Amino acid sequence: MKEKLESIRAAALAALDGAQSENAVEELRVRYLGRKGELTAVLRGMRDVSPEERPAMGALVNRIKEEVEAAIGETLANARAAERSQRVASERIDVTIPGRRPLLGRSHPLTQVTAELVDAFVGLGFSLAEGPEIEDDYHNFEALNFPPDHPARDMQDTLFVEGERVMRTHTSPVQIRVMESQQPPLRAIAVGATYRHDSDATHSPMFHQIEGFMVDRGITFAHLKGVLTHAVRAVFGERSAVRLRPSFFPFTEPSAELDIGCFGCGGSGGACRICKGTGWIEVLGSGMIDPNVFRAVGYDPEEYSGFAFGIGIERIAMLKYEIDDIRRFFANDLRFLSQF
Amino acid sequence: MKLPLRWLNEFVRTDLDTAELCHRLTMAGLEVDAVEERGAGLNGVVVGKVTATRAHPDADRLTVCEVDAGEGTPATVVCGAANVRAGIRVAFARDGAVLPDDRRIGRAEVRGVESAGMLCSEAELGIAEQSDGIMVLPGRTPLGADVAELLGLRDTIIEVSITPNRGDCLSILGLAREVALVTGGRLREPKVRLKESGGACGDAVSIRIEDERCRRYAARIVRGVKIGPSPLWLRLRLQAAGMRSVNNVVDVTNFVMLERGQPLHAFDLAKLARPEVVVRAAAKTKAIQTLDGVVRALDPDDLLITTGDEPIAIAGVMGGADSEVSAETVDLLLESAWFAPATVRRTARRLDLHSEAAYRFERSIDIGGVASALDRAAAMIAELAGGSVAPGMVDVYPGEREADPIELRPSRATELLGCSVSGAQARKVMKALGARVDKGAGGALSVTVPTYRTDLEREIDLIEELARVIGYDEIPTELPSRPLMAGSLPERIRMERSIRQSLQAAGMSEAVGLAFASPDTNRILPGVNVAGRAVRLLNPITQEEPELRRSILSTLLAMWRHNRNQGATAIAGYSVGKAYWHEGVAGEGWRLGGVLAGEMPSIGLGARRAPELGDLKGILETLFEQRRVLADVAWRPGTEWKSLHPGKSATIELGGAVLGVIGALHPDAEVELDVDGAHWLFEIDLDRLAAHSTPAVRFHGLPRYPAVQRDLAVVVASEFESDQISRFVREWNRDLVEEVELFDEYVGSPIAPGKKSLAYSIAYRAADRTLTDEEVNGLQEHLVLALEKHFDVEHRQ
Repeated sequence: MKEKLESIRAAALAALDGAQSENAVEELRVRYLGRKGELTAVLRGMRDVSPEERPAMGALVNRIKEEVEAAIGETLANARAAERSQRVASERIDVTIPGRRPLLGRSHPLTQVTAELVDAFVGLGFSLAEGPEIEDDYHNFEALNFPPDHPARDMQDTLFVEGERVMRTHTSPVQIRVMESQQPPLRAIAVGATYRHDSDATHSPMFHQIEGFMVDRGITFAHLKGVLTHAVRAVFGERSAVRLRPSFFPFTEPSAELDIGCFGCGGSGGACRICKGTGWIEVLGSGMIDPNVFRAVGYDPEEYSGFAFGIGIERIAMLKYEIDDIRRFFANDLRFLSQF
Repeated sequence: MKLPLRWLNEFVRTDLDTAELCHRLTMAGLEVDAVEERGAGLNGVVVGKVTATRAHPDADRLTVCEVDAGEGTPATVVCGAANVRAGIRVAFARDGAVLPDDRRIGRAEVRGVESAGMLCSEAELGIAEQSDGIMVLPGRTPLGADVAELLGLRDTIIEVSITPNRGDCLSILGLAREVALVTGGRLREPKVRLKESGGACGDAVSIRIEDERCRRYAARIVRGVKIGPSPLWLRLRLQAAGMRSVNNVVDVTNFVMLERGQPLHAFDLAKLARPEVVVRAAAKTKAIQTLDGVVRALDPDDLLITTGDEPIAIAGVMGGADSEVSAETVDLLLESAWFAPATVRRTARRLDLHSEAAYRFERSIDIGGVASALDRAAAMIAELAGGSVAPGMVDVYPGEREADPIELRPSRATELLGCSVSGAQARKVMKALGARVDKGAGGALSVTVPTYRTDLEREIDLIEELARVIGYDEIPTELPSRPLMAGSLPERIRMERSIRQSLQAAGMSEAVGLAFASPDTNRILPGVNVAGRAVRLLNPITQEEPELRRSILSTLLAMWRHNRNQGATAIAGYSVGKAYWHEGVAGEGWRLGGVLAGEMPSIGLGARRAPELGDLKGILETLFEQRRVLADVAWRPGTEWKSLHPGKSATIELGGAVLGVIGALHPDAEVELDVDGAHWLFEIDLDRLAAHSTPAVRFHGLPRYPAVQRDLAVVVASEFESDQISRFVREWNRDLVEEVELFDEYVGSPIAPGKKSLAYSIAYRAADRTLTDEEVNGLQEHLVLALEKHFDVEHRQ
């Protein structure tokens, strides 16, 4: 019996040594360890072994069985590894074929510039307020210190709507609406479409503005310079040169245009296309809120002061992306939109 | 306002170079728009004398001239002008000369005779628009002298943008005051030397003001003038400032207007019906023929200059044709007056007559300068057109008084500007502006501003002047130290931002369109939750689009057409914007629209395919899922839009109210809108979406027992809406049915014609135990029975 076991062991190990595939190994497992397998048959023959011999013989059978099982496991693992490496060697795809992807939609460049500006001011503690596009004369003009028949109204050629309404010519009426309904301290911005009766390469009858204002006790022109310089640098870069120069808006006094050093030529001017050689680019209009505006909303101008500013979004986007014609924004050509 | 530096130099001398002067003006609020170097290109034209002429051998109209330019040997020049003759001095463009239009003059053979240059006309020198013959220079002009230099044809012209508050800067004098202010230079006003003779003005004409909108009216008479062309220097002045020469009298009135900002008018005295001028409202006077020959209908409120019953001018806007100065005019009545800005503006706008005079009156002129401008003009006319100035002027100035002083508190200036302003500093600045400064109460200054600064009425106006003169650069730059405030965005904006991201991830690009629409577009695309009718514009940009859009889809249709015309095959766009309506009053609301047209937008291998409703609906469902409102959304077949295909469109409802529409255009609407091909579009009411509240997010425990999946196939009529079964199954057993999903729709054999097979996958799950197979089989059997009872369906085994 012992000899028989040893010969089964030797035969099994030899056969396994030659086994290449998973199937061949499986066949050998059945042949030796299966229900009708050779080792199994020997185990069944243990009944015929004498009780004295039985423990030693039993231990031998188990040892050989474990040895064969381990050899089967190892051969199987080797066979599988060999198959995997064979598969890997035979598989090849063209990885240079382009990916199958949905087209990436783009948000409009005006939306992108607006979000950038809005986020800069929200970061400074300004909250966004909204107002209607179809406005009344009072909120669009009169409360903002534009008297009727004043030539300042020529600066804002108006689109009139039936029912004595106008398409708002600027976002400033939102200033009035916020101040009518809230008390200082205020820090607010308004953003949106505005309209003028004007149409050429640099003027669109519809365009967009962002407007902001801050009202509190003791707000000064120096604060206007501070906050706007800070905000403009947040948008155009920390090292932008900034200058303010006097201007005129009916609803602010003193009024100022804010210029930044040209980012095209670095302020050197010359033949620069962006700043037309001046070295400066006008980016916003601003000023201290006129006492007449405060009176219109019932604030005491001796108690409160504040500043306001307005930015033309198309203008900023045209400068930033070097867009040549304002009408491109509204043609919505996909070849244009996909660039932003 | 064009500022020629040669003219400016007569009022204030400055050594600054042009760039520095422009910078200082800009920083003082007078923004320089452009600088033009006029005559810079003109080169090599010198004074020559025609010493001899002879006829050209081969051309009747040409003359061969010998021209001496002071160099000894005369040049031979062929000239085509009729007025060339021996002895005259001319502008001789030598070989190599360059004319203002960049034309280079060289030696050339003219019909067999070599010409060594050209004799120039005024037009060729850029002085006149057209001229008859060559320019003849005065007899003693030095030979060989540079003509451009001699005549002053080279000038630097600074174009200054004048804000509407600074009417005082619409003149050379006004700008010179500012230049003196920013350079520290001294202002010199030209002295007027007036010689008077003949009968007194006051005896010949009377003036009456019957309307308080004219606060001052002054007139002078100049007799015996000879109307003719203006001298070269005057024409050059007008040309440099951007005006055309008419005749000597009109040119003088324009010259004085440019110089001093006071518009003047000259009437032909002989053509006035009566020696009496009345300023009054038009009232019953219906019309006047203005000097441009047009008959203008008048408004009763228009301010007129009249004589007898006849209107002779629309105050401040334009003179009448009947009293116009003509070649035969001998005696003049010169008008210098002040009219209320608002009335001039109203009339000029209504008549669309935007004259230089009206432009200045609208911005308020210097009421204190009315008489001196009149003297200046009368003296110049007497000098240039002959004639004599009648002694005295009639000057009606009923409310003449000094302006009220304005209180200026240096402490208030300090408070508002954020930099310390002393009383002495404020006094100095005010004096530099030409104001009189007296002591006021409690440290304040009492400031009386000059009459030309009509923009300075309040303390804040003076504070602005302080800031402007001190310089904005000198004011510190400070951040306010205030309690922190949190900046915030409204919920609608935050929603809009997440919607944009979700649509862009689906391949849709954002369009922004103008809000204008045609009545046809508004009829075809009636909008969502848009009441009443369309809003009309009173002065639309184009006659084709006189309304505001009712539907944001008008923008997307335009985008679709534009890109199709550009050859795009895949169009996927969305737009967020306002829709407008009119129902008693004008209203507006936020809308979102989208379109998928052509092919499905994708890059990479694989067959291109047309979009299906499911593509666009899926994009919207994702969007609703993000907002956590998908469960409240229903898709009802059909819409109220006639322009949508009735069998391929749905009304989107949210919480039972209309949220929007989705579908394809009706083929008739495709024709009307000029679009075709596979497409789907939608519009939703963003205000309603934003207003729909969603429950706060709270965590629900994860299921502890497994779900059991079963499929169920039924055959139904082909028009049957698959959603009915999904909704029914969900409601049928809310405890155990966890999910119902349609996974297949099949038409064709073996399914009978007119029928379709729908296959649903149903997930059953109990919260407290593992469902057994027997239990689920029983549920399925019950479900089939229930379906067969409720619908006309046949269970497919």
